[in-house]
Amino acid sequence: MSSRYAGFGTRNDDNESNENFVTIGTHFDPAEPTNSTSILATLGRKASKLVDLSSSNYGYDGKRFHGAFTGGFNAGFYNTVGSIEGWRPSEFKSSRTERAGKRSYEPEDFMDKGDFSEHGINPKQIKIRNIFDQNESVTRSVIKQQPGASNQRTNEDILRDMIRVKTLSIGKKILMSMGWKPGEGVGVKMSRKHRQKLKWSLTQETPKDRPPSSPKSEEEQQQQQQQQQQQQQQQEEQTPGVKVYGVAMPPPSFQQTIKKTSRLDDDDDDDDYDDRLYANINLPPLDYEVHFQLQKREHHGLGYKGLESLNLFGHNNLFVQPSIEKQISNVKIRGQAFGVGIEEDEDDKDLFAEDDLKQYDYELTTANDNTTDIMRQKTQENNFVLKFARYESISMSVVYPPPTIPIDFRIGHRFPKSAMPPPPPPPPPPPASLSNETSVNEPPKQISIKHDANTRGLLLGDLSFLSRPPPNMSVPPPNVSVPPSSKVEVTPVKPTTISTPSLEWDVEKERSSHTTPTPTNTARTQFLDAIKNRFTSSSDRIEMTERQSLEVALESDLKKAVSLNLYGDLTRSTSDWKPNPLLCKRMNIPNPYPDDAYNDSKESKKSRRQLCSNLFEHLFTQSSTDSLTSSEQSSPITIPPPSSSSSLISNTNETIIRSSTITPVIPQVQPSSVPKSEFAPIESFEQENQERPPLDFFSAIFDNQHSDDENADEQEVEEKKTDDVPKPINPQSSIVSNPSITKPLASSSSITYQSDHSDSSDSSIEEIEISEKSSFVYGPAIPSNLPSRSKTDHDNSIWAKLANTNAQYEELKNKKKHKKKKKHHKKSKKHHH
Amino acid sequence: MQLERKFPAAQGAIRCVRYNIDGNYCLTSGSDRTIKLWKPDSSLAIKTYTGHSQEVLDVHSSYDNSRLCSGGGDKRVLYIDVMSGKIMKKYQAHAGRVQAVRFNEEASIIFSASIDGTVKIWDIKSREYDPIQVLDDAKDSVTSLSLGNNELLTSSLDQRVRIYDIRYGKLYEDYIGHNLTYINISHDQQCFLVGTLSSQIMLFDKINGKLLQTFVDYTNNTYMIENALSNDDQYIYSGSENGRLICWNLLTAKQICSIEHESDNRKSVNTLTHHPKEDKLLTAQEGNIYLWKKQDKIEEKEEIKKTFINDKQINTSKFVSGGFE
Repeated sequence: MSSRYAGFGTRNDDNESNENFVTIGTHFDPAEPTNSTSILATLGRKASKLVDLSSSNYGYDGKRFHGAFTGGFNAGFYNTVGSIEGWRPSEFKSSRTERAGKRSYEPEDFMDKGDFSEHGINPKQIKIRNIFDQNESVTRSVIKQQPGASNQRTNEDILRDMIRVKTLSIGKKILMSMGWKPGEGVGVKMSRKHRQKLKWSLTQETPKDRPPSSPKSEEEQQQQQQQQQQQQQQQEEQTPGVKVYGVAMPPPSFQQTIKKTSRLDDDDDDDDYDDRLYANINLPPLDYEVHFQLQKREHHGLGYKGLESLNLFGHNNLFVQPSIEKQISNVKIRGQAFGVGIEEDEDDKDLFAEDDLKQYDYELTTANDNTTDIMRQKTQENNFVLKFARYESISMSVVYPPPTIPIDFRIGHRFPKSAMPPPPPPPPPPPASLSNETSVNEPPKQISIKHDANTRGLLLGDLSFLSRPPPNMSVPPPNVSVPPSSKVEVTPVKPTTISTPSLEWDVEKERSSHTTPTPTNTARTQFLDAIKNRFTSSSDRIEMTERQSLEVALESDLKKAVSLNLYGDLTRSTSDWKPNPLLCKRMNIPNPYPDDAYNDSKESKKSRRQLCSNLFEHLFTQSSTDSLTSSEQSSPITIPPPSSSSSLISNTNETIIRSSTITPVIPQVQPSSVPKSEFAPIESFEQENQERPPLDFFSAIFDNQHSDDENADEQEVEEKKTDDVPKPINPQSSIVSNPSITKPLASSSSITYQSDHSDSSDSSIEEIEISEKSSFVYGPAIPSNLPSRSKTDHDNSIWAKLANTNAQYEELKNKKKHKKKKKHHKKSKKHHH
Repeated sequence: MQLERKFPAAQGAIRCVRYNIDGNYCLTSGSDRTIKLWKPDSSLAIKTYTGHSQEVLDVHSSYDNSRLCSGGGDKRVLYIDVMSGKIMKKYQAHAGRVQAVRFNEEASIIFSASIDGTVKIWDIKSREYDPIQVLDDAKDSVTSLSLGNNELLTSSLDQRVRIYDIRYGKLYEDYIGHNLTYINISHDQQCFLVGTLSSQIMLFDKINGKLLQTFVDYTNNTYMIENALSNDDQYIYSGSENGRLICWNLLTAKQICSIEHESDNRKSVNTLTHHPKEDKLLTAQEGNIYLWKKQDKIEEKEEIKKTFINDKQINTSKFVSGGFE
């Protein structure tokens, strides 16, 4: 080691391998690092100071490193607030002439110098920005080039060198320093064949590796053929035997030029030729990364991985023994020997799962080497082809062919037959063995006739319907005679459907038909009340003609008087009129008839309201009903005019013979359960109007109005049932309870019981019925073998019985009354007590 | 008569026009199923009432102007609140269209006459929707009704006038011999005026049914032409089927005036109403409402002088009838 002294470059001697130099001038500052930017060496010290990183030249006076690693702030003067003069507030000066201006403070006012320096919070020094290159290698190369052409370099050049636009990232720089070139892949160099395989597997366009299953359109095939032709042409051009003189032929198409250029870059097409050339050359791997895009086939969320069925509890497979590959079949290691040790903290592994040696690697291979294998594996796993596909083929939506429709397919759903309720069987026809009695007592059969618009219109005389032929005139005449019964038998009244296997539906229908309204007495009386005062009955013609003539005379008198202008007493007629008391009250007029009760009962009012509309209909229907009734009357049997009940009592027998029907004796005292007043007008009506319209006429008009009345009647019947007393035959009651009221009178009088058949004391009455039936002339012809009906002892006896029953009934009734009275007395007595 | 105002009602053909109780307002009913309330002096339409489903044939307002009743071709009688136009009650029992409706004095009862031949009396105060009484004495359609103090008068197509005297509980039937279309009782309650389909209006004594006067020279053969009496019972007004408004003197039966509504329109004037206090008259022809005012009396006095001469002839006829007695 040589002596050290200033002036001689002893230090240089040390550094530069014992070469003795005479150093002239001053040394560089030893503190200055040599490895800072080496441009600075050329630029001199001033420049070095500009960008010197190591020099921590903070503060006011020289170097003072403050907060070595934390980069703390310098605050004030020596970390004190203030300056060298001490803390000095800002001046405040305000005079009359000079007003102190408002000073707005900015952050810089509160910052120290150090904050503006390079590492301060607000550096204000000039420095090279990041985008400009400070790359050492570049500068080095510049330096290296420098000795050759150092003389010509000007300052501009130096500046240009110094300030260079940075283009490479650090990673690239590192890679380039390692020998990487842009355009190459990173990794171990591979053979050309391998590389091409890899490339083929990634690109679909390569002709050799096209999957056979890929759909090809004709256009594509044509394109392919064209390409092949072009390739042949190219090969021809480049085959060494053929020489082309002069200007080369221009490329036939733009595609070809592209091909050519691409060929220059990377030869795909004529590999044989290339292979021969570059067999030994290793090429860097591909520049692009391979991403494994997994086709999503399930409907789970992204990244979802369901539990594997075999690995539910962490066990790979509980029952199937792990199969070890053939290579390691001789290595029979099983169990948990290779499990996780205690000190290893792999908690996620199940210690009790049987280990599979498959999970271990037995070869040291890098995954990078066989990327193609990995890819193939992946594609097999995911069942998709990792290739670049044409846009069209991907976007082609899958069009499924429409399903083939069977020939016998019919539009519209048809329910299977089993789902539908079986169609109701037609109501069975009444057995022929049934007697007249039952047929008479079976009103529902006739009432339940369904009218359609045509039949109804026909019945109501609406001729507008008759222009069209009625589709099915299913309405039988109201009194269809039942075939004659050869043998006389007493059949209790029961619905005929019982004998036949009756469905529930039938029963329902039967029930409903029982409740279907029959034109009952109240409705008819209402109706007749409404129209009585408007029309004269045709029965009493003499009366009518008298009245008519009287009216005509009156009318003519009136007219005469009017023609003579003799208004006054002649034209005026006075009658009593009872105003409603309420009307009088409202009008503030005293009631002229304060004593008489105003008899405009509610019922009649209601009836009027109901019948207002029917009133006029009736007028129109008269003609049609006439024709019907006339046909009915054309039967040979003449219906006797019904006599009043009082006359029946006096000379019963004669009337019986005459009418050939049994008219029961009517006791003078009516059973209290039957309100007589209600039905009194009906009788009168019946007597008045012999020519009654048929049943259907009424049923058409009063089809569904009077079920209540019917029910009431039935109730009455039931009430009667409760009495254990044999009841006298009461025509009125029979009318009440008999739905076949609309039959001609002769039949109605012959009907006795239809619902009292359960009575135990019916025997005598049944006998009567027997005799009745034999004498029943109405309807079909009487069988010849039956004895003609006449007045016999038998009849007398029957009447005697009948009278007896009546007497019994009366007696019992009286007894009952007495009992009731007694009871009443008792009760009253009790009350008194 | 002088035409003071004319305005369209815009409700189709006007079926009836009625003054209210004090004559400040009037009601019209039209064939477009509406009823309209007007202030006729300023031809101001105040409110329109709906509720009928067919044309409204008659309307009447109550004494306090709070309610109105109407009847129409839909067979209904409506009881309507004037202020809100709400239908308070709807009576539906007539079998034919309702020709005339009338409140009683206290508007507690509605009388309605229908072509079904009945007059039905409805009690408004009760909740019943049935008539409290039905007068079905008529053998044919009841065309109109008029209400006196104690009696109800109806005219019917069976050529009879029926006077239901509530006070005595009697019904007087007067055979007139013509089809009667309209009846009106005089303000003094002594006479009633009957319009007939034989183009004459007849004035009868209510008490004994004697013919007092006959007014002719107008046409009424097919329609129901209304007539009216002036407030002092001096004049008789009537429409005509030839589009005229005709005025007679009651005493002399002399036609005072016969005014065409429109010179070019000969459609019939069916309905008219007399102002209850002043000498004003409302008529309607087709869709227009006409307000007439009586001219000053000077002319009429002359006419009366003239008619005095004619009066004797009428007296002779009366004498004949008296001698017949």
